[in-house]
Amino acid sequence: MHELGLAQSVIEAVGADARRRGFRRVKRVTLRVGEWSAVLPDSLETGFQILASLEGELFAGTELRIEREPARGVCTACGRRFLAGRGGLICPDCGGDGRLENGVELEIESYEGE
Amino acid sequence: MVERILKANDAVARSNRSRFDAAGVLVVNFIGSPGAGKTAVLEQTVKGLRGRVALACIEGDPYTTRDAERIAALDCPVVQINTQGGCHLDASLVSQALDQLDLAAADLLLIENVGNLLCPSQYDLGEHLTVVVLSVTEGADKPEKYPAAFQRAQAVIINKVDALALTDVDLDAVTAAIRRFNPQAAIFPLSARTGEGVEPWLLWLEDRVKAVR
Repeated sequence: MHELGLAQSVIEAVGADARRRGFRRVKRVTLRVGEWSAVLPDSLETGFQILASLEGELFAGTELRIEREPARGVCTACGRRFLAGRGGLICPDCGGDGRLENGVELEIESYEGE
Repeated sequence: MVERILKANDAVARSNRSRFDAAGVLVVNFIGSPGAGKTAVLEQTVKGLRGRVALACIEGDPYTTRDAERIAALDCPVVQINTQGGCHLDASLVSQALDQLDLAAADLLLIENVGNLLCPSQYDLGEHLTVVVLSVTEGADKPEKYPAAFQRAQAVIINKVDALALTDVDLDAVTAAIRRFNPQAAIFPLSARTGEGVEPWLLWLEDRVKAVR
């Protein structure tokens, strides 16, 4: 996708919150990125580091942690939960139709400031 | 601070949705590859539902006004959004376009997104329904390659079925691939060129319009 724009949104959101709370530095930012979110984690990380380096002291040396959320389905027939990954949303047990539970997340999970 | 990275877009999308709901208009976001036939599907939809439903369209395109001219030629109100190379529509672009439309006069607003199966899948425009337009010439592996787009669709149109004989693509294989990544989606194989298979799609869409009216 356009990971640089997403990285910019992360920096703006975290930066605004950190300034409001009077933090001098953001130590770490943790994101949740779903397997089916169409986002490339490496590219997001690179974009984040480049933009962070332009932000001065607040984002000096900030670590970006990206937690991948696997695509997970739940079977509407038997209730089994399963990994949808590249296999899709058909239940591996009973062949029933699955519904997507996780895997499209694109979230700022948390950040640590000091 | 758990929050969506696209929180700003989500907020504008919510505001768009309240405008749609206040006007009683059903809004559909069409996503598909460049050349899948999104505009041709819109043309068939506008022609087919004329007299049954009051329509309006928003056309997303990187640079040209060609698609909007095709819709305007059918005497349907249309607004062109040029993204200046941008790879997707977002909620604020749609919000600006809404200022140029008489929403209250419409029952159904069709939004054609920029041709792309990746980026548009992340941006809520405030629509009620997402429809993916896939053409048979693209092959059966697109749902597996672009699950983000397919999983959010309420319907998938398999376009260009009139060209099936010219390809090695098996329609059953395409349908099975879509079901694998979205078992709940309604699937409509059709040809926007010949009109074959268009009526079931129109009936499905008309039913959804009646449900909000």
